[in-house]
Amino acid sequence: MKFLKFLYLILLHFPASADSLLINGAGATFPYILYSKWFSEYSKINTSAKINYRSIGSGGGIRQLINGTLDFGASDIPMNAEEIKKSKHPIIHIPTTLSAVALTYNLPLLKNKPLLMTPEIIGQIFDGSIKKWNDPKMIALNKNLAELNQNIVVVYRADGSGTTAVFTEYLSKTYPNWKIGKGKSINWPVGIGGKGNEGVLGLVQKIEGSFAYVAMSYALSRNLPVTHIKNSAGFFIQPSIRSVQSAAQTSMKKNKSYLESIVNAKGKEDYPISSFTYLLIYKTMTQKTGQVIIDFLKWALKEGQNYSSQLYYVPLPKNVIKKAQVEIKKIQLK
Amino acid sequence: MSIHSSSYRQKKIADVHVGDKIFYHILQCFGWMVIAVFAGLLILILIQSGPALKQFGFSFFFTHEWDSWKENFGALSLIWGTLVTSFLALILAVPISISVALFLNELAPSWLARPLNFTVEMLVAIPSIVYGLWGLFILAPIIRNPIQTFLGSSLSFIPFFQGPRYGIGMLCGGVILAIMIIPTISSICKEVFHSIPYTHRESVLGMGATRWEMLKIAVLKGGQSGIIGAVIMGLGRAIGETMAVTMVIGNKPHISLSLFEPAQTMASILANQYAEADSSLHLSALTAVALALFIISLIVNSLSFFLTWNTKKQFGDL
Repeated sequence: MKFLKFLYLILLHFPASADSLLINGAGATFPYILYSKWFSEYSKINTSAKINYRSIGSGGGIRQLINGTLDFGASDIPMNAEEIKKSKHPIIHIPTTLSAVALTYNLPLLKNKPLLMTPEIIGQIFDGSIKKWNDPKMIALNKNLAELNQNIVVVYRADGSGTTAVFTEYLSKTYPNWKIGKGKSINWPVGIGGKGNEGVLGLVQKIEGSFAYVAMSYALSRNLPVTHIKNSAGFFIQPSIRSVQSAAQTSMKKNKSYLESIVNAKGKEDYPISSFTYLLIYKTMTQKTGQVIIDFLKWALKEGQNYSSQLYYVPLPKNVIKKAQVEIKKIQLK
Repeated sequence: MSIHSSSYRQKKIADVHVGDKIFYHILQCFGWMVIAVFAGLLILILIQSGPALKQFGFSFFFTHEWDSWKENFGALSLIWGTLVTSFLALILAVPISISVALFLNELAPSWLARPLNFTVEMLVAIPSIVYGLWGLFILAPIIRNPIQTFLGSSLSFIPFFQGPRYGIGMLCGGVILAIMIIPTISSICKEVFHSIPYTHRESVLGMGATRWEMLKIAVLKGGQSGIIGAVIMGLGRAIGETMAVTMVIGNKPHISLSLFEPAQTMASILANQYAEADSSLHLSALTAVALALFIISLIVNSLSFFLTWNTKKQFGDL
């Protein structure tokens, strides 16, 4: 009897869930934790629609969006010219949060003293011209490295990722001799590759003297040691929610679009290796789906931002939110 | 056996019952479906790998640079990584698997054989990502010290054992693959040994052979074709294995004789880069790698087929 009652209740529920609108999105893996929090919170406010998000990678999100199999996409990197040309429908980018790249290491000798680096040193480690931790250039900044006659073991992301793209963008902008290129997967001349942030971290933990780049949210949530990097104003800054937000704010001051890179920001407190991550939205949508997406975007840029920092994501600065809100107004419903 | 099955088949076709006919056609449909899926897969891979093969030609398979920034792709280093790790795995796994199968089938008392047998078969059921994580966190440090320390200091005149000692690399990849294919090879070998009639063993023993001679003559030689089939099946699994290898191989597409160096296999570069390919040429090059993997697997499987067939002819069908 109890079972029948249960069954009846389930059946009663079906018409309701069939009526509610299902919206499909897919793309970047980096903001996945924040997005799933947003969609679950938003579904409590707007019960008429259910937003579904699959983290299949930025490239996959863009490809499916171009093919028209999604209602929206998500990417760590703005779509390039080739992709925009391929898409039949115009697409607009809405920034949602900021990502940054932290440089972490396994040096028990250093204990809690900070590790300082310039972009030139970082570039030379990753192109293989600095091989040892006690290289004179390193000792000049970190005196306690003098006794560390150990090889640097570079660990990189082996899978294609926005983290690699932002990091190599930074190196090609700040280190003139960087010849290795930039993009989501790079032919690294030295080191070993791990799959995903977890794979990289697994290697770093096991190999003494290792040096690696990971997503900042990953490093902060696990309390990893992070390198303080010299920014273009000459200050050594460590990655934090504040220093990344500040970088976005100073970069947006002039009449710049948020689609441009924000690496190597000019401010005193700015952490130099960071970028936006975006939702990709069709410029014209049907009335029903479009209205839900517009309402959601407005919510995400306002209330949604409060969820960011507890999940180690960086809330957008106010000037960026304003620009994004202007962009949302350009969406047309038919 | 063969005469019996063919006459059975003829009877089935000649059957006039309508129900049987419908059943026959339904089953035939499913049979064709397998071929259709195979053909569809091959056609899709061929079409998508077209641009890369057009650009680089046949030399795609004989150059080793893999650089998505310069859009310069060659699969040789990936083929190298795949073949070296797979054959290393075979060298390690084959003697162990055959010994395990012999012990379980011929020597072990039943109170020990049953739990051992169960354990070996459980090893197949473990997902490969679990092997990968175990390899990364537990096996790699063991390989680094003491194994690489020992090999690197006492056998360093051999080029296989030179170079940096990270723990992860081709050696670790080969060892984890060996562990993964041991249950595959040993369980097939066990079935093969089991199928050898007991009269064979008894007659060899009756000729005055010792126990070891009996195993050599009746079991190992008699089961030769099956053993080869089992080994090739293990090789097939090693070549296609993706996640576990990706976790421990170091993911660096280059060619080096040293087993300590990181490398990249065909399957692992697909797992790493396909979802986030930088350009359409990059995507096409990755599909061409998939094509190469497809062809190599095909060759391995046909090899196993012909070897088994040949030895079967030689020693008689078991």
